[in-house]
Amino acid sequence: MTRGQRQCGSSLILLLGIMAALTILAFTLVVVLANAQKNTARERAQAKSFHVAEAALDAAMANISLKWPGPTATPEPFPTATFQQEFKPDSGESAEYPGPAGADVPDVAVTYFDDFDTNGDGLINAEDEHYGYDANGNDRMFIVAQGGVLKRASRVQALVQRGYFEPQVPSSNVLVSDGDLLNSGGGGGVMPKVTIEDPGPLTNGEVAVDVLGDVEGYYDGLVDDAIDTQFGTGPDEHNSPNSLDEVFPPSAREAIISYAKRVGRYFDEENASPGKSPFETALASPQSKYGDGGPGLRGLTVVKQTAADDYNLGGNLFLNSENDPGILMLQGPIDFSIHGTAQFYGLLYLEEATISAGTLSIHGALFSTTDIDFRGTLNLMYNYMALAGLTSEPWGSTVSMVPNTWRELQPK
Amino acid sequence: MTSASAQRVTAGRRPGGARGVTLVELLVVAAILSVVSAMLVFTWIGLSNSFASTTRSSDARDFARQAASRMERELRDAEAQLTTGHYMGLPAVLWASANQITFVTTFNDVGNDVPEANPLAVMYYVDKGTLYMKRDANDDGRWDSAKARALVPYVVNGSVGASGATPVFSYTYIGDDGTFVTARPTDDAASLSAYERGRIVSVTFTLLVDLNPGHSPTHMTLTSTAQLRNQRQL
Repeated sequence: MTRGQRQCGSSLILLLGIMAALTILAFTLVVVLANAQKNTARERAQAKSFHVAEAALDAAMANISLKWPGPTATPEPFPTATFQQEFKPDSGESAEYPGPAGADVPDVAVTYFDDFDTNGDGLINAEDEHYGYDANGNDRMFIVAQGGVLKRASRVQALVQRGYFEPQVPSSNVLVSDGDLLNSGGGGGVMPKVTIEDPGPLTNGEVAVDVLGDVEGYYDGLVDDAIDTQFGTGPDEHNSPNSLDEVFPPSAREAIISYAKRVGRYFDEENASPGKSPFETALASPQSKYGDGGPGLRGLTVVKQTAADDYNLGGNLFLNSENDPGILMLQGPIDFSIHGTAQFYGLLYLEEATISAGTLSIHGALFSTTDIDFRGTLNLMYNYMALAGLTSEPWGSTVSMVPNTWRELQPK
Repeated sequence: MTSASAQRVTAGRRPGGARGVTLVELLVVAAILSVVSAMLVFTWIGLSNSFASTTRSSDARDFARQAASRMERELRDAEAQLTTGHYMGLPAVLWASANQITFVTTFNDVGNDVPEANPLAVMYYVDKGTLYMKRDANDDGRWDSAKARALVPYVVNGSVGASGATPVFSYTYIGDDGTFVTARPTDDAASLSAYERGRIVSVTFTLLVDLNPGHSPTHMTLTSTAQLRNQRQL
């Protein structure tokens, strides 16, 4: 055998050795990188599951704020399917929050249990959940929410409490205006137009009308004699009237607006329905306080609109009642009128908005930052019960988290 | 050719006609083998270094991310001891400075789903290029062990940054007028005041981790903000 024949194949062995070494290195690097990628994916899934759980906790708080599961109330189940729909991808898109086994929506589980050992096992925990309601009636409950994305899950728990809202509405003013008081209709109509329907504990002269501007038109006899008229007895005569801010402070108004925002009764351009103005959106809102699908201007309604528009509502419209009064706040250049045998109980607050001729009867109070014209058959009747009822009205509740009770738990 | 010379020639050949190698041939072969060997060795060393570097940086990333994730979740869970405990009456955040934070939390405590579970103290701090954690699991006001648990090595916050160092922690709290105030302590000599600590709503931490220790510096920046869930109702 020649030397060439003896050495034949040695290069191949050398090459194979080098390739084997390179393969091992490359494989190891691939494993390392794949591992890093897997870690990243796992962390992302973990973070997403946490956000789902947090969102479910917030949604659960909103859910029971609508219907608090009190001792005698039927527990309101968490709307799992509706909540999951929020995560559903659009057609053709991949799921951003895939559930286990690649479902297109994440796993969600929400349970409620009372802050009370309802099952007598000596512990306050999710084992009490089967009661599902505020058994001890102390307006506090635990919510546990779990979210699952792919193979990762997060579970959070918090104690929440129900709070009540008490609007600070002055109860001795029937009419307050920072503008003029007008009664410009022909002949003035049937007088007086501002009367006392229910004085409550107030005696004559304790119900007040405060007007900062001028009094014009058929003002004589416009206001019942039993009402303290803070505008003198003739045009441009004033008797130290209080301004709207003094009677109904901005802080009280802001509190009402803030509450309306929290409970979804605030309508502005941002949350208006497509093609509808904020006023029209409010009018069509199905969620009135009574849940009866009636005109959405019932109960507490705040409308803020920047575009000027006229709204003429017709028909026998009944907004609220003496026992269930409401607050309607219109902000912006809205001209509002109701015709027919329309009745409104509670407080009508107009900020830049105006109320034009109509047949509306207001039982309660009318506050305005601008002129008020009583032409036509607009009637305003002081109603103590309707106004006092505003502060004791069960406006629904707000649910907030009790500080120092939020915890992240081991998922189950 | 004479018979004698023919015999010498014949004697110089290997059986089968193979000839021996000359010194020159041997030297050439040795030189070639040296070059090839050197190439192989350098390639191997290069690949090994590359592998080690990748593994090391991957580990550094993993350590940092795991620690950051842990720290974030613990911070989120921070809650003051309300009814009992060594730290009762103090804010949830007990110490807040540039490179050290101490707070009480129920995160990962056994049975923390029970409302009565008491939050326990935990401390994160960076010292000599390492992020450490200490716990006070028995709530006696002393750290469990003199030896802290090292979570992330090669932390280079102390040597990187416009002013010579990058503080690990910064804090956002609600100021007197109700607005958010962000405090960025620059050292650990003092903590935010108890008033400020009691109003902290979020903690931002930034970890600069050397991915190639012992070699030319290459660091990654890992930053995250943890919102203290129990403080958000302030």
